[in-house]
Amino acid sequence: MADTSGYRIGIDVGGTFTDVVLISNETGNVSVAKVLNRHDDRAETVVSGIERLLGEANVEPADIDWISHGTTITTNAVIERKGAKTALITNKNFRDILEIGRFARPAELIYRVHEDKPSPLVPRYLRLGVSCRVDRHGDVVTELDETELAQAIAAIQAEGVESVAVCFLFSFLNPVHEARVRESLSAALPNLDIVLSSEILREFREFPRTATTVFAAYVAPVLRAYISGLLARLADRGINCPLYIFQSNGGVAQPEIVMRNPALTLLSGPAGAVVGAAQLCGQAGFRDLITMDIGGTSLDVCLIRGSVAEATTTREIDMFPVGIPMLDVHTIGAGGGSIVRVDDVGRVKVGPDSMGARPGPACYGLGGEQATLTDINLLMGLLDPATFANGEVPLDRARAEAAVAERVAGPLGVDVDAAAVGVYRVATNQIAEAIRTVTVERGSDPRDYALVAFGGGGPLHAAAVARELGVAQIIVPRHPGLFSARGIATADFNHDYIQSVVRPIAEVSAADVAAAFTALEGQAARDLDAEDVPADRRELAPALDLRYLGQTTEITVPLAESVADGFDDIIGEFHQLHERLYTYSVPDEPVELVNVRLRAVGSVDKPPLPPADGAGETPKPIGERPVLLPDLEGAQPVPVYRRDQLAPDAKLTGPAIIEEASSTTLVLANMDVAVDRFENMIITLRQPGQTP
Amino acid sequence: MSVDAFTLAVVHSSLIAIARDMKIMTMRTAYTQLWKEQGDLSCCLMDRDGEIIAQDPNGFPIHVTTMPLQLQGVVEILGRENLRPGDVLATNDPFIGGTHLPDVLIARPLFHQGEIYAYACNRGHWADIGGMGPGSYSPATSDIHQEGIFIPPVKLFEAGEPNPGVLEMIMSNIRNRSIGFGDLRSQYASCETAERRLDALIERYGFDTLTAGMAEIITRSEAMTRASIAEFPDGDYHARDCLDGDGRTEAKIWVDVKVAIRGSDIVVDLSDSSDQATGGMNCSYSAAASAVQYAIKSITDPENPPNAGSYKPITVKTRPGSLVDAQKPGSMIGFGDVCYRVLDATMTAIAGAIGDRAIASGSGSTGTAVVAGRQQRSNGDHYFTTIELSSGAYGARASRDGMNAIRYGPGNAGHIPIEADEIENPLFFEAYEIVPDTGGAGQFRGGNGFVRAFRVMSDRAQICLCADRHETPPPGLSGGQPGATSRYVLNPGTNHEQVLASKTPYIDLDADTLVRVQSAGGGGYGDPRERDQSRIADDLKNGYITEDAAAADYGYADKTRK
Repeated sequence: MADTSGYRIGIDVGGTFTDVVLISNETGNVSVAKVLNRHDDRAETVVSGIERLLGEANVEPADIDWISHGTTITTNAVIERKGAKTALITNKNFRDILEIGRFARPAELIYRVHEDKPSPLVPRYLRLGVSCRVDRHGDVVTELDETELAQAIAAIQAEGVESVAVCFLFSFLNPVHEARVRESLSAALPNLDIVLSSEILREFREFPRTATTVFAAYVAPVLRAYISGLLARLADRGINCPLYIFQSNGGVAQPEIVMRNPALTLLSGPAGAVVGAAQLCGQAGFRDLITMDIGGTSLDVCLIRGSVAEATTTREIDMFPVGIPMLDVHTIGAGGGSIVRVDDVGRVKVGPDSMGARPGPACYGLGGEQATLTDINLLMGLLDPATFANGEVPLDRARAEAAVAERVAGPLGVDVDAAAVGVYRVATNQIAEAIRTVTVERGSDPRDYALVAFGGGGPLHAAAVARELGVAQIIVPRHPGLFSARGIATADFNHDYIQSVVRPIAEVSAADVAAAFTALEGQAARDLDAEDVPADRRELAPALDLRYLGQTTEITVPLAESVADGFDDIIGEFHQLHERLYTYSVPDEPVELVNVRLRAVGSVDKPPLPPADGAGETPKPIGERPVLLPDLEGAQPVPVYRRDQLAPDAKLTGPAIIEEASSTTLVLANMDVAVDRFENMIITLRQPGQTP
Repeated sequence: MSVDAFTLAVVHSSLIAIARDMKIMTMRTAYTQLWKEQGDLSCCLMDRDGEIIAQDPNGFPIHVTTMPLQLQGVVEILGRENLRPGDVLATNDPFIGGTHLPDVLIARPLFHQGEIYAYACNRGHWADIGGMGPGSYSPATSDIHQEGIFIPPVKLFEAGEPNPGVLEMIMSNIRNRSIGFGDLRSQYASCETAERRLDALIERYGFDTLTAGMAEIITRSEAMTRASIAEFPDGDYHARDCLDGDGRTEAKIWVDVKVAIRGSDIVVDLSDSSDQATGGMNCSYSAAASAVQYAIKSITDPENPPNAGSYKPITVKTRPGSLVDAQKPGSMIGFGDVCYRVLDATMTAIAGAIGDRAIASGSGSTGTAVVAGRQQRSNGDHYFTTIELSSGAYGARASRDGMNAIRYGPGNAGHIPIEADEIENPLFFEAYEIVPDTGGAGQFRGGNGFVRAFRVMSDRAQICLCADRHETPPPGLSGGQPGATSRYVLNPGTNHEQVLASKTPYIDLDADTLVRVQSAGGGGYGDPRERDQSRIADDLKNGYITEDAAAADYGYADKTRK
């Protein structure tokens, strides 16, 4: 575990920039660096960011005792189709499961008859069938054909394959044939990456299991090469501390554990900030939160209940399912670079396509001609053209105006101001709709939560979104643009273990379930041992996945107490959860136990969060500028404040604009801002009739 | 009142989100594999007149666009003045505008200040609706009553209270009532949730704005579609295509399509189609129109969400008493395959007008193979029903090959995962893969079909087929070759091999019978001799075509082999 005298580092590799934070374990002081990615050498980007920070903070490389690393390198490899040359071994006559998928078209293609599904990561000639079969009871009904396996291995060798996914039917019940394939393959080709479906997704449904296994195999060599390259560079610079990898479930793990299933990193991108929000807002006393993270291309929304982020196990990348434990982050294409357009019959659209960072919004002046959400925010007066991104990207108002006039206002026959305010409303609604999807649709009322806004664009839209949803409080943390790296730096170890059961719970004995938990606890102990987590820092959270017998989607029900006395309590909990999620429950219907689940958390020492000194002064605006407020006609003068001049206990009232290097916050009328002792801005919406 | 463009965008996306979430919720809580795994249900919101405002993006066109006429029929029969808040309406009556009896419409009228302003609608394909055999899918039904229980427009709930007599009447006439109850519950729970979210929309934007927005959504979509149609040259176009038989006889039956484009209007006349079938291969006017609407939507405005406005420029004419406008008491169990043929013939006819938007015929059938019966499980002796959809491949397009082994057309049900199928049903799969050479050759190749082969491990099981493209292959376009025909075989390669017709009423299966169902392939596009050599080599390498076919269809000699 961390020695309290040293420093820890958190790294978040995004699409355009890599963020690095350095935190003193003793004082909790945070320094940050933002480095433009070098796409030819990502490890070098990270190392140069670390060196810059060490120099600025005057810290020796040997004083670094911990690095947590979030990376989108695997996700990018998939999207850009730059992963390893991968083969897939399946049962004979079943090699096209990956290509056929669900057989139904994805919704996006139903009317778009001239578009195709994305191509599978393994082309058909590398999908190799081998005779063998296990039935639904887990019994072997056809032994593995060694001759066919030898032929498959020969083909793999001849084609220069780097990585192999193996997925047989019912291997989650009996992995014997998959294990046999690994044995033969690794004997013949010792340098090959081999991923077995039975080791990474022990659940029924062959398509998601196959697709997930293929994802894991496809990115394994990429991730391995990256980690070993990075470790070598760090060692060259005298940094020899452990490196941990941030996973989609919001926790870190040793590289060796992540390499067992590299797909665990595929959706880790938006998870860092959610973990950061849960931690920092928890310290400030907020435990029920809706996170709202707006970057250049997308909006990520997640629900945190009682300081724990909601989790899920299914998502899609490129229309292929990824079955891994992950934070339930709902993403829509609405970010600063999202394109705003009007179609031939006067319909306004925001996103989902984005101009990204390059050429980016029209106002960047880098050749982008489309009107984007950032152009809209600029025209409303929310952004200062001179100080945006610390002045590194001067914004050109004339270009924004021309783009919006030509592409939005003109076609609609309204003036540019009206167009800007109107588009802002449309974007507000899209964000609110995304939040309704993670709250109302899952049985929660957004009014019971505080909204945490971060990412460059979150604080620009949070006030309007909160008003639309009836949310009473908004939290804008300090350095909202670097939230993710900070969350990654202080994330706990987190591992998920699962055993499929799929039997009516009436037929399952408490002893069976206890035995399953014992086995999972053994695996957890081995992994936490490897990570040197002391016994008093381990927490095991058992749960059962239950559903009504006959349903297909299960609900994960946490197990508060032992099941030694039977399942009555947990079944009761299940009925209640079903009622909350789906509006009804059927207490007299039989319940099926689908999976036994164990989450193992190794809690990590958290650096202290140093309270800042506060004088409680009324802050002074640095000026004012005309702003088109979304609920008023015409531009109003709005005072502008600097975030770094807002000390703890500072108070101000809206409307106001608060600027800082990585973001801008808009506060509307009838909202009060108070800065807490951790420098969070807490924005409170007045109830109707309430005065300050 | 008028609604500004921004409010319109806001209201529109909210309404679509509500319809989308209705289906997600139903699938998550459903019991039948047809819904929870295969997604065979669709949701939409309609306005006070029963016109589509917003449909779930994952909804099936054939389900959604047949709902308006059916809902309008329900309201007319029950009387609008008799509807109350909290009512849940139901019907499966195909003659007022539905599809076939297994598709049950659940609708909730939504009220504002005592007046209906919208309906939340959920139509799902029930795995069983009674009738001649389990799974309710015999093509040999000579009248509607053989299909199953006919549910006239009824109130399942009155003012929030269940109507136990009606519910029991329905459940007593279907097999596996516990599945029926669970599914029905998930259908109306989704309508209730939709109602709550629409109430919230009214609160936010005001009732007048919401209803004005609904009207505007339709107006704009109509304008968009008209602008696109106006780009097509005026003219008259004709095509006809056939089905293997009518369910009771083997004689071909014809769908005849005449398309007239005049300015921004399209008139599609199906009047010269064959007379009403004696078996189940018929469809309602509403279903035929739905297939035409899908075809036109996919070539005029595929990017935008569909609604009633998308279809206003389209007029569909039929002859009552023909197979595309069946009258009582005809059976319409095979409506899906009839609709596929309407789609194919419409696309073939209009190809001459639409240039590179044309697409050759796909595999052209629902490929419905029902395997059902009884099985002994640990918790008792039960009915089981599984619907193996055995048809899917795209026709080739003007610049792309057809996609392999994927659903095309106005339906979009998926497959049951093999493991889920084997866990719930007494089946054991031996093959599930793409079949080479089944896509029609062309400059762009038709999509290959696939095979599903499984043993039936029960001695009390039956099979029934309600499919097509067994006798007449899907045609190619612009010189492309037709795709291969579909094929249904019991115990292939043995001395008791039995080839089944695409329309096979329920027959008993011996225990351990191997059933092999194979989809037709899609038609090719353009002259095969024009096909890029590298595409042929790529197809060969990946086994999408065989060497024999490469030589025969393309004159291709693999230079790397001798």
